[in-house]
Parts: sequence; structure tokens; C-alpha cells
Amino acid sequence: MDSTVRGLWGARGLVGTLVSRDVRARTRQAFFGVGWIAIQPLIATGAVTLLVRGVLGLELTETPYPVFVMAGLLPWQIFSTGIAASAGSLVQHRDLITQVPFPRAALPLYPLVSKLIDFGVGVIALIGVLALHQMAPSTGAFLAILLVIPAIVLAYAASLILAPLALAARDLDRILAFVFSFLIYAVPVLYPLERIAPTWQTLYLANPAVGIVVNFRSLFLEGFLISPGALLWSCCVAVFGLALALRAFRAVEQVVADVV
Amino acid sequence: MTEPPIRFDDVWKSYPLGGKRVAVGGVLRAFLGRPNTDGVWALRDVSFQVERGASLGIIGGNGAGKTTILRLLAGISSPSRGVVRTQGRVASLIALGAGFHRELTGRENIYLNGSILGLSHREIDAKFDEIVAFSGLEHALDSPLKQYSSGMTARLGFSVATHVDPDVLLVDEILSVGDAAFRHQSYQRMISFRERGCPFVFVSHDLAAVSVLCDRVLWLDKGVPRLMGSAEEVIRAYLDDGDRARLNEVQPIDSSETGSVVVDRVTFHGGDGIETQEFDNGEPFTVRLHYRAKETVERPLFATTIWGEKGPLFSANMAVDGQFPERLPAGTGIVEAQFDHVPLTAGVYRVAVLAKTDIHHDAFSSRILGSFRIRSDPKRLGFGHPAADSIVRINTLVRVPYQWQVNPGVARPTVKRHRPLSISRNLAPPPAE
Repeated sequence: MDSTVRGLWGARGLVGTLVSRDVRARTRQAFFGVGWIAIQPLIATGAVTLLVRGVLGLELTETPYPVFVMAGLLPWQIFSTGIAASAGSLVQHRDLITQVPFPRAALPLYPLVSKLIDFGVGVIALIGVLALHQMAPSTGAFLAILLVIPAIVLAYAASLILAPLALAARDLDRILAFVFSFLIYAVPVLYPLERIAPTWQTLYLANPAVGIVVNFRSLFLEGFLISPGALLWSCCVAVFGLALALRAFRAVEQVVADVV
Repeated sequence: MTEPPIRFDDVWKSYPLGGKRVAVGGVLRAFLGRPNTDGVWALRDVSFQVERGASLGIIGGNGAGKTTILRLLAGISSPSRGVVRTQGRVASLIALGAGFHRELTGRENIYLNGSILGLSHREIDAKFDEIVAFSGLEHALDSPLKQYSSGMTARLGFSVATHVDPDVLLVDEILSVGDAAFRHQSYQRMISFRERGCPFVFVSHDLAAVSVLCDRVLWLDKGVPRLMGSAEEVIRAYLDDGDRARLNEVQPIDSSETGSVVVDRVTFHGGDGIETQEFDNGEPFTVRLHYRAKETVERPLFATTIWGEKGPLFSANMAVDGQFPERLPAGTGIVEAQFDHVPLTAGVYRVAVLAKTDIHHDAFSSRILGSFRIRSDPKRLGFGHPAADSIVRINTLVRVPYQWQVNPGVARPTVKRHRPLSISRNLAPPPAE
């Protein structure tokens, strides 16, 4: 087995400790506590709904728009907030890197695991939003939740490359925040995939996040995969990306403590 | 032959020079599998092994590369060339508060640090009470670490690191922030580790501790190994080297002295009268003051004080002993303070000089005019214990001749002396008014 993967398995206790520390730090002194985790996607959904349906008066989807947006937002947040937190993980823990030996690959992993908890809370909030519309999750909803696995793998692969770069170029986190504020328009979260003009379809679908977002939404709400091909593409990118990223990370791990 | 638990073979280590372009380049090159070898050499061709049940001390000045060796052994960074191998679980205490989080409580930090060292939650549960007991921090367990003093942080760190059943222990300077009781407790624990066969590497400026804890010592000088050998041998060579360097430091001489008698220069002489800067403990020792009198001076007063690193040790002072001359004609000359035995232990000593034309006159400004060195000489310490010389030097300031008398089975009543001590010195008569 790959030595980095073996190291990660040995560090699972550390990942657990870091995750629980992260979650506690985010909820302990917050007024809303755990509720805060659910409030963020709810407010985002509400604001977009107000803009698109209320102000602009657009009817983009057959499913109720808030349901549509939130079901896309939850998997997308694994990428947007997950990669941002994960890419900054080495910078944030540079004391650990320079002072303590442990498998460094655990650092970009734990923020993503922590985002799984956000995702879980978000799904519960989504079920609430569905209930408001007299709807219920489909029978395939449990399978839809499994799509977080390729999502996490993809995000982890990206973070393994971005996190060491963030050590050398400390403004990378600002660049990423900027980029991700635009990237939400490059995934079908706010509008349906069918709205993309046919000439752009191929390029659009090359984004591996697209397959996960659209298929999670269709599987969770309606019980079928709207685009199995896109999902297959996402999974392939995830597996090959991770293999490449682990190799690259193993090389860079050697110099990480010297660059900090 | 079994592999030693710690191996360090022909290791070179360079750090990239600062600058963001270099940092980005370093990461990119590493991604491409071409780590950089240019930069500053922190270690040059260092090799050693530590066997089971052995211990190695690393000494040297600041920036010698001591901590770099520990970081390489711990696996925090990798060598530029050469091979570093350790066997089993390595526990390292390299920086104060490493692997701790300031906002978390002591209790939570034990779990955090334990999991960084590779323990599962259950394994930490099993050792928790032992860790707390050793650290002596029961009362502070539920306070956040930011409220801990540095000594308390070091206690907690040492306690966790030594309770994870390491196969190799690495300890940097951090114990020095603990109080004496905790240092002693920690040293005891390190010794018991070694006795169980777990080797350790100890980096410290506390040479007394190194000489007690380590059987072998490596002396590093700017990344280059200078000497490796028994603790006594290496510590002595290290101290001697420091002495020689300090002896050659140029002494600033204040030439603005304005009194009517000025000491320009001071020289040191042995029993044979020959000028030298190096003496052995117990040798006859003379401080010669080279003075210049601008006019004839009545009853001048000369004084000289021998200074060690920690302050003045003893002096010869005409204002105290009254041995001043009645009259000093204008011109140059010499005044000597002769000591039968120099009572000092090995090291470098500075000499301050003062000349006054009257006990009531002139500023009391003594000036450092020279320095001399007492050689370390293990053979002179009769019994010949190899460490005796270092022990004497590290622990005491002076060494005077004495005899032991051992009378087994005799309980002698203490005889008190009733006669006051007579002073047999030749005191000059008090000056006639």
C-alpha cells in the first residue's frame, strides 16, 4: 500500500482529534452553536431565491427553486469551503510542522472530514426545507449521500497540491477565496444544467464538480442519476487525481518543514 | 549484528535561503522530484550511531546545528545528503508547547499531543493518570494552556512524550525552563529510560547535565563535527576551546586615564618570572602592573582584582593591606602582586587594575587590562578520575589545597579554638602624619 496512505491510517486518531477540536472551536463560543452550521446554507438559499424569483421574477426550474438551490449548494460547499479550509491547513499548523513529526497528509484531510459534519447538518436542514414544500427525499436519498465520497476525494486531491503551495505563497488563500466566489457560476447550483448552451456543454462538463452536484440533486430529490456519464467522469478524475496528488505530496512533504 | 536504533550516516543538510521566490521555487521543485541542494549548510558530514541503552549529548554554540540534528532524527525534515534512520516510535521534545494548542485545556492537550505522537484515544485513556501524576499539574488540568507558565508547559510536554513508550527519545533545551525539582525528576526519568534500553539524544547548554546524562558527546561547530567521544573528553575540549577564544579577544583599553599615576599595561608571570597567560591551578602567580608616574607621588595605592565569569573573585589591594610605598618617583616602573598559589579552576579570568595617588583622591575607576587562563589538566587532579576536571570546573569557582582525615570509629569531641587568629603578614606601619 502507498506509504502516505499507510501513514494516514496510522494518524486516524490524530485526524479524529483535529476534527473534534475544529468542530468544537466553531460551535463552542458561537451564539447559535451547531445551528450556525445549518444557518449558512439556509441564508444563502434564501438570498438567492429572493433575487432570482422575487426581484428578477425568473422561473428557472420545475422543482421549487429553494429546494433546487439548496440541494446543489450542499455538495458544492464541500468543494468551496472544504478546499479553502484544507488549502490553508498547512499554513495554519506550521508550528506543528516545524516542531512535531507526524504524517503531514493528515492536515489537509481533517478540514474535509470536518466539512462532512456540515454536510450532514445541511442535509437535515434540506429535509426541513423539503417539508415546507410538502415534499420528501426520494428513496435514493441514502445513495445520494454516498456521493460525498468522490467529492471528498476530489477536494482532497486538490488540497494536497494547494496546501504546500499556500505555504510558499501566503496569499494563495485570498486568491482561492476570490476564485471560488466566481466558480459557483461554473457549476449548476443556481440554474439547471439544461440551460448551458450546447457549444459550452463539453467544456462545462469537464469540471468534475458538475457531475457530483447534478447527480446528488437528482438522486436525492427524484431518485435517479440525471447524468451517469458526468458522475463517472468525476469519479475517474477523483481517483487519478488523488493518486497523482499523493505522489506529489510525498515529494514535497520532505521539504515542507524547511520552507515554512 | 543488530541495527543500532539511531543511525546518522554522512549527513549533510542545507536550508534554502529566505525570499519568497526561493520558497515557491522550493515547493515547485519538490513537486517535480528535484529537491534543492543550494542554500546554507546547517550540517556538514555528520555521522554517529546510538546503540540500545546508550545516550548521546550534543553541545556547541548557537547555530551549531544541534536542533537540526534532532529535527532530522525526529523526521520533521529530511537530510540533503546521507542517511538518517531511527527504529520504532520516536518521542521528541524539540520546542516548548509543540503539539499543544493554547486555547485547549491541559486535559484536551494531553489527548491532542498523544494522538500526534501516534496513540489512540484508548491508549491515552490508559496512561492519562500516570501522565498527570508525573507532570504534577492536577490542579491546572481544566485551565486552558494559554494560562500555563512556560515551566508548566514543559512539564506537560515532557510528561506526555515520555509516557508514550517511545523507542527513541529526543530532548532539546526545553527542560531548562522547568524548576530544579522538575529538571531533576526529568533527568531521573531519562536515566531510567536508558537503563531500560531506550536510547536518547540530549541537546543542552547545561554541561553539568550533559556530563551526567550522556555517555558520549558530539561537539558541533557551525554544522561541522569537531569532536566525538566520551563526555569528559569532549566537554573538556569544548571548554578549553572557548577559553582560548576568549583569551584572544582584544581587551578594550581606556586610554583616557588622567591621574598622576597611570597603569598602562598588565602582564602575568609564573614562578620562574617568565611572562605567560597560561597557568595551572596551584601554581605561583604574579600580576605585574606597568605604571607611569607623571610626577613624584606620595603614598600611591595600587590594586588589582581577578574577575571570573560571575564576578570578582579576589584582589590584592594596597588600601586594604597597607603595603604601599612611601614615595614613587616620576617615571615608569613596575609593581607586582605575588600570589603563592593561584586557587582558580580551569577557565579564563580577567584582571582589573586601579592606581590612586591618595586614598581620598581620584576616581575609583578600575580598568580591565588583561586576562589569563587556567589550563584544564585532568592528570593534576591526583586520583585521576577522568571527569574530575570537568566536575570541578562546572560546579565550583576555586580550588584550594586541603587534606582529608579519616578516623573510623573515633568520635572526637569538637575542640573549639579560644585564641583569636593571628595574622602573620608583614603589615607596613601606619603612615606617620
